[in-house]
Amino acid sequence: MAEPILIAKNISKQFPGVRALDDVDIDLMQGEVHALVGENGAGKSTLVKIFGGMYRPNSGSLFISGREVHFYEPLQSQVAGISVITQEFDLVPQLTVAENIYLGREPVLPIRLIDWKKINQRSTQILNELGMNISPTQRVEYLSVADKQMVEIAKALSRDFRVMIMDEPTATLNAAEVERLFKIIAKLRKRNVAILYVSHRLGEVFRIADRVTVLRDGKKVGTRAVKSLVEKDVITMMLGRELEEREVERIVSGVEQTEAVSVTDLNLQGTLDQVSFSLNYGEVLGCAGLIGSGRSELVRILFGITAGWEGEICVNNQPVQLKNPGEALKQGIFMLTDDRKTEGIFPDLSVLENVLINKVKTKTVWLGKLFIAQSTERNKYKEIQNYLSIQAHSPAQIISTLSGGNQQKVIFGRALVSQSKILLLNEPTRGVDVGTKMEIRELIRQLAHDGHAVLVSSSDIPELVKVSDRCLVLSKGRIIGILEGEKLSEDNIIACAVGHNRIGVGS
Amino acid sequence: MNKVVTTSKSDSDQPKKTIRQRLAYIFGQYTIQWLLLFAAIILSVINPNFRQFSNIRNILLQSSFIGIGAAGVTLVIINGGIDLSVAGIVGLCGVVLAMLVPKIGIAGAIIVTLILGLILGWINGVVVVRVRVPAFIATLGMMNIYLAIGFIITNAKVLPVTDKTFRALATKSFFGFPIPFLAMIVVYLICFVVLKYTFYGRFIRAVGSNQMASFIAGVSVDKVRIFAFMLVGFFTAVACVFLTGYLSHGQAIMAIGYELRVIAVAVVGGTSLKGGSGTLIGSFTGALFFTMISNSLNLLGVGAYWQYVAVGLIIITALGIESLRRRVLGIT
Amino acid sequence: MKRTSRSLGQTTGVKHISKGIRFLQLFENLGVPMLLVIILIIIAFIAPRFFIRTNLTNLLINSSILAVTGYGMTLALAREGLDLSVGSVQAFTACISASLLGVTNIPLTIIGTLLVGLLIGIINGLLISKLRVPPFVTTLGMMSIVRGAALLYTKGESVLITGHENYARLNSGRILGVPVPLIIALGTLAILYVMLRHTPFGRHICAVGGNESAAVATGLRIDRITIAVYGIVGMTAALSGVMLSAQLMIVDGTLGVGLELKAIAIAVLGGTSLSGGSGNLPGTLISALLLSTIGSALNILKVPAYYQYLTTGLLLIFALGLDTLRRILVNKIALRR
Repeated sequence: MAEPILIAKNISKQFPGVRALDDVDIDLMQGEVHALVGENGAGKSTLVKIFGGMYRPNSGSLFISGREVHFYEPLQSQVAGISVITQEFDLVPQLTVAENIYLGREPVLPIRLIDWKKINQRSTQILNELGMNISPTQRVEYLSVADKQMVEIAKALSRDFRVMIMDEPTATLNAAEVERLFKIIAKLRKRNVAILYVSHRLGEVFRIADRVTVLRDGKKVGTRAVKSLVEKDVITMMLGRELEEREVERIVSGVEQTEAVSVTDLNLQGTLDQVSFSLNYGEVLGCAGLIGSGRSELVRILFGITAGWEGEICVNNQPVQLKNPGEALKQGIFMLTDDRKTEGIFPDLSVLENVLINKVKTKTVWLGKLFIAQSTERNKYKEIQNYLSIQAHSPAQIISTLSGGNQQKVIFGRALVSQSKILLLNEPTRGVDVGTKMEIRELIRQLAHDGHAVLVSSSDIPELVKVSDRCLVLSKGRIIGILEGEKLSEDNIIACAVGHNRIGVGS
Repeated sequence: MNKVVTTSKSDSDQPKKTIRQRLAYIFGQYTIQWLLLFAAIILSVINPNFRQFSNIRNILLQSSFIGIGAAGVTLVIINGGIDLSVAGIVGLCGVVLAMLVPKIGIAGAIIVTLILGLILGWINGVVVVRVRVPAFIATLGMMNIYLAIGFIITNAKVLPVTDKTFRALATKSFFGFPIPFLAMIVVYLICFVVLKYTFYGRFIRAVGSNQMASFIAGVSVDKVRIFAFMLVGFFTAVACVFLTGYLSHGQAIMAIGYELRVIAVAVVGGTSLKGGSGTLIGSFTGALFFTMISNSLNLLGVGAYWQYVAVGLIIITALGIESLRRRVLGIT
Repeated sequence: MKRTSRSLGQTTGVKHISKGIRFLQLFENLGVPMLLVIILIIIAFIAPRFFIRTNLTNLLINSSILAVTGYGMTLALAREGLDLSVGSVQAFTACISASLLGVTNIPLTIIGTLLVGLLIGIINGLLISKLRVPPFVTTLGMMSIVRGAALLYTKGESVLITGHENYARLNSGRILGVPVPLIIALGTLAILYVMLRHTPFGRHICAVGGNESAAVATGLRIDRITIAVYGIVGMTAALSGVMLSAQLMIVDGTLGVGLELKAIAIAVLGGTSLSGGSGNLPGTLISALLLSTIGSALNILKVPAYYQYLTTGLLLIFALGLDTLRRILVNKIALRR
């Protein structure tokens, strides 16, 4: 049996406040497709970045073909023969396919001009080998996402990379494009390329992978041959049970439940299909579904970010057309974003301002609408800070200096301040330490008890079970299940979520 | 509300800083102010003429023309934009002002000019925000257009301003301080209050810091950006009022090169072209600093030409220092 | 299995978008020339005196001088930067050339002047790449420094170039009936065009400007490329300085004021995008011709010169609107399913 081409031993990586990877081992054999799975925050992307030379591990070692290597920058990992293909393409949009493939290694004529004939010919060769029908003289910016991916693969292949890491390659592909990708992966295999296939889509994993490694909370749960498992085993490994958990007291809300939001026959081309449900005041409605089920799109539609949908959405029994977040907020809806770095935090502003950014002015006096009431704000901030235990040494502290967990709390504080009765919480405990997770879950229950309508969209299934009164489960854009009471359990959610595992459509 | 369970692990608030980092931090936060202080001290020592009251007053007066304009430009840079059309705004407002003073009196003419500044700023905002074009080039185009209009309505003539009261506005002093300088102080106070104590000011900073997050937070991003452009137009018009009075004429190209000078002041003063954060006090002292340097060079008999070199060196050095400071502090 | 993966027009919904893209690409390349032709036709009717030989010659000469500076700016934009110092460099190098003529022959004068421009450009490049000062600010400062240098060098006076009729021929001479400045402009265009489109270095310039992180990831030497680009920009500015001094035969330190904004205008009008990654050099030349044509026509029609500000401004805004439109269409294509 051959030696693995890539070996990672005891890899650990620490960031301020969070341990992203803890003593992870993994190895890749030539010609194998090795899947890497785990829910968000499990450490997959950190591991990929370490292989790609963007991060250095705090401890552990990497071996390529038996030799130990250290990567101080991405270029070195490429020199070692590793290619990483991610959602953000490493392509120059204004250059042609051929120019991108051979960037830095352009074949030249004796007079030092680019040999177009050769570069186009060679590119066509590689593309054809992979069964791609893209013209080498096409500018990359005009290619579809799927085609861009192809070019990246061709680029890696032309440089004779021995290891290809594909990070969520099918996230934005349709069914036909996915098939094409798989055929290419088969060809790569024949060429003895080792592929590390990072994906949420277990159906794909079971189709093309030889082995699968599961990560959870930065630790490796295990590596198994795919043949020896069924999907449910993998999911169980991915989600598992969290240790040392206190049972969150399920405060049964005695509030009479009136309808806050009702959604009827919501359709979004390629993403959501005849979705209907209602969200009531006084309840926590969970929303489960693997990535690609349409879960996050649903929330974005409810908050007025995504347009182009059909169907009917009623808020407080009035049909609404939410064109932007401003209008949603006016209707009393608040959304907690799942990507606080790009959509949540104002890095240059203070903690206080981040919490109070969309505080609706309460004073009716004209001046009050214009000017900020400093002491009122400070008091409000202190109230929130106390309630959520936000660690900041002063309200004026610039938020970018806070830890991730505290930043999440700040965004949460924003939800509290907004006085919105309808809360859409997207991954409320992402990037947050265990203790804070528990606090936030109790807070969510408390909010429902106080009369809010809370929708929690989360990839953390045990969390959903702990926190929800009812739970929607989406799969491939459809609501496959609405669980409550005794039926609301992890197993049931998982069963629904994987019920019909569709490849491709939707993101 | 009952407090939810605590015991979150306490994160270290700030990474411990080395001495080098600490020095870089203190020096960097107030670079331009330190420079101003040092330069003032050194120059006073070297040249007794510099210390004269009349000279100081002259410096204060001269700095206000650029300083007032820099206030507005600082705001728009903090908002994530930039405005290269200010020279055109000054030119157009200047000729309008010169035309109107004899006709409708000083007060009326000034009011019309200020409104004109607001309108021109609004047009800039609409072009950049609604047509969705990069502010840099769009305002460059608008500058050409405003300049052209200024030329056209005056037939490229220079319009003299003879009204003594109006000229007094720009040249006389009040309790020893030149009126334009007092106006500059007021302008900066207004901008400071707006930026720090009003919601719109906060939105200006928020949009400059993270436009997407502002959108998600329900801020009307377009309105805020247009508002910032209107502020530039307004304050530029204010600067123009004084400049016209000082020069005692209005002319389309009276302020050519103005835009680059005010941006230089803002940038050297510490406002980053990236947006999101900036310093009004930096622009204030920056304007003083630049004016002081050229004034003292004049006094030393150093020709205007060396001043060009000096200004350029200051710009590059200041930003080079800032860049090094960021590296030492570990900021990207 | 038959694969039908043609990139454009693969899904039916996208056919009209791809037609739009094709139209825009066509417009990008032919829009400005067409505009020029249209304007020339209009001029033929309303100001036929435009077409007399002396006028056309002057027009071509002025366009050439402007265009040469524009080439440099185009390259800087392709690198996703810009150079505000070109006006000052033009003035400074024009003055340098005047002095050099006093001590040496014409070829060495030209070479020496170009070297000065190269040096200034390299300094810009170093400051931008090593010190990481944004190009806007760096070249703004340099603009001021070089302007001061030019004024100091000439002590604020004008310098007459005398006794060098051959030098003036650089401007007034003709080769096969074509004015020499135009030949210089065309020759420079040819060289730079080949460099940008057909050499690895040129493609790397676009790569760095188009997606710097991708360029870094591929192992390109960003710093070296940046320094080289700004060096070339300096050289083109110097070349325009030579041409200008040959035209005027009297130089001073106030030449070239406002040149940088004109150069940016013609680059953007010519189709070079502000976001980097590509540069349309022929478009820059045509835009220079366009602007000069409009200026000249207005002149003949006795329309005051300042109307040109208006036309330049309007054209710029128009060009920007098209660029935005193009970006929207490209995004639609990229996001289609």
